[in-house]
Amino acid sequence: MKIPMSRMKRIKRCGLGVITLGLCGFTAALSKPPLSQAQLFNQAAPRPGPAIGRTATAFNLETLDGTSIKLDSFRGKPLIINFFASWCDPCREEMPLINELASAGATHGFSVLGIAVEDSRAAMTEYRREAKLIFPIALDLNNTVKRAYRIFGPPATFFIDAQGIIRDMVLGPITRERAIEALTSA
Amino acid sequence: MPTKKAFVVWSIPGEKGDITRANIRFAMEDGKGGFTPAQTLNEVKDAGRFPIIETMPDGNLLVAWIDRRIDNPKPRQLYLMKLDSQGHPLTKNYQVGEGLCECCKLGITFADGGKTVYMVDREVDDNKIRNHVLRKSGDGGKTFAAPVEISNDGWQVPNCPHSGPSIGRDSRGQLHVSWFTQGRSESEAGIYYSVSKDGGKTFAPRRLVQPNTAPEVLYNNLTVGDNDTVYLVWSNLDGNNRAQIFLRTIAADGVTWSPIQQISNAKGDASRAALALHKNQLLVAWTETDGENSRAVVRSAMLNQ
Repeated sequence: MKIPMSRMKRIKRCGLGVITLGLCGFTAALSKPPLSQAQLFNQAAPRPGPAIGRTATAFNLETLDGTSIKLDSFRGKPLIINFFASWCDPCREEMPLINELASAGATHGFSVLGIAVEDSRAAMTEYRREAKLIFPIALDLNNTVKRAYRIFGPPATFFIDAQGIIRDMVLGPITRERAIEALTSA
Repeated sequence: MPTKKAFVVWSIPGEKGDITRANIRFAMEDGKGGFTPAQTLNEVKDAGRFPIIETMPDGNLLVAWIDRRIDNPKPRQLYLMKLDSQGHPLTKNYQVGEGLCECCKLGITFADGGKTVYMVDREVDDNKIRNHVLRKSGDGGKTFAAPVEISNDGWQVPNCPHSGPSIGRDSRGQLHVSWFTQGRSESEAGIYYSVSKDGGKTFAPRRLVQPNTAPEVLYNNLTVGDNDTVYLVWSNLDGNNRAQIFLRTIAADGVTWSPIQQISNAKGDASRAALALHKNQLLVAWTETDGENSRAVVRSAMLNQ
């Protein structure tokens, strides 16, 4: 996959350096009329999902700290979005790597955003403290972003370029090698 | 005698706040309008998760959970503990299985007055393929035979699909199982059902209860009525992309399946439905969340038995 972005190329060079540092009630009967089979199976019609080369779906979420955060606010520099949860074992395992990416991004001009899915503000706040997470965390309390990005379950990581185009995505845990590949696949 | 008091198990985060290294807590009604102080059941701290509790036919209580006291090699172990009808320990924690998916709700049912215990869970192999299995004990849950695969779904997933299977037994001894799987492709994903007519030695080919409407983990449960009707509930997304609760029944003949009914109308999401039969009523409870608000909802329906 080509990444036509000079910024991503810089990340490539810088990222490799970073890597070596270890990187980088009721009683009524069931009263609601049943849905017809046609209705139910219409629901099953496929929805367009995210894809490499496609514009990332916009969102507007609240962060753990109560501020609003939009995808658009990251325009102009690459962004790594990591969908995760405090209860998710593989998420926890990859969190040191995500933290390192966030640290590297601060130096090399890309951002990392965590989106907490199926989680509570209290649990995520505690986990952020415990894991010493250094990147902003948005709460997807109604699962709208998770569903828009067709995240089956956390973790999942998306690499979005400065123009808001998805350049790579990892559905499932991300390894150091896979993160390098995503950052260097220009 | 089985207790008439309500009892509950749940998990709380371990000392460091880690919910993946949690402790199993138990409490029951104290007869004074409240509950007994919560007691921790796992003997090794910060090691339990996904607890389930069921009343055995003799009135004792069987608690099971996924345990990570032996943290390597992965995956996890299955631990049990028995309590008497008043919640006093009858056994220590003991291991009866391993190879479980680290994030899987368990299911239990009994036969032969409690001598036979059936459990269902999801196993995970080295390739992260997660199929559901039945474990059978002939000695009241002390030991279990090798797990029997319910369906070779080939679900390979590295994430956390923390839904799990459900099991019920009818008056003829048939075992009914439901579960969620994504199978070998997204188009296979959905809630599935199977039945065993030989005490769990073999299972009929799986049948689709409802396909998944999105890449979403679906939570399911089932119970079996006195007339051997199977009641299935699960969550799935509606046309507005909101998770709702759906219900379907399978008649005793195994052939007559009811239409699917949507029984929740959540503004946000409805999920994790549980169900029970009581005095000719079907009770279904679930959690509705909307933003940071959540509430428990219960609906009941009179049954035409």
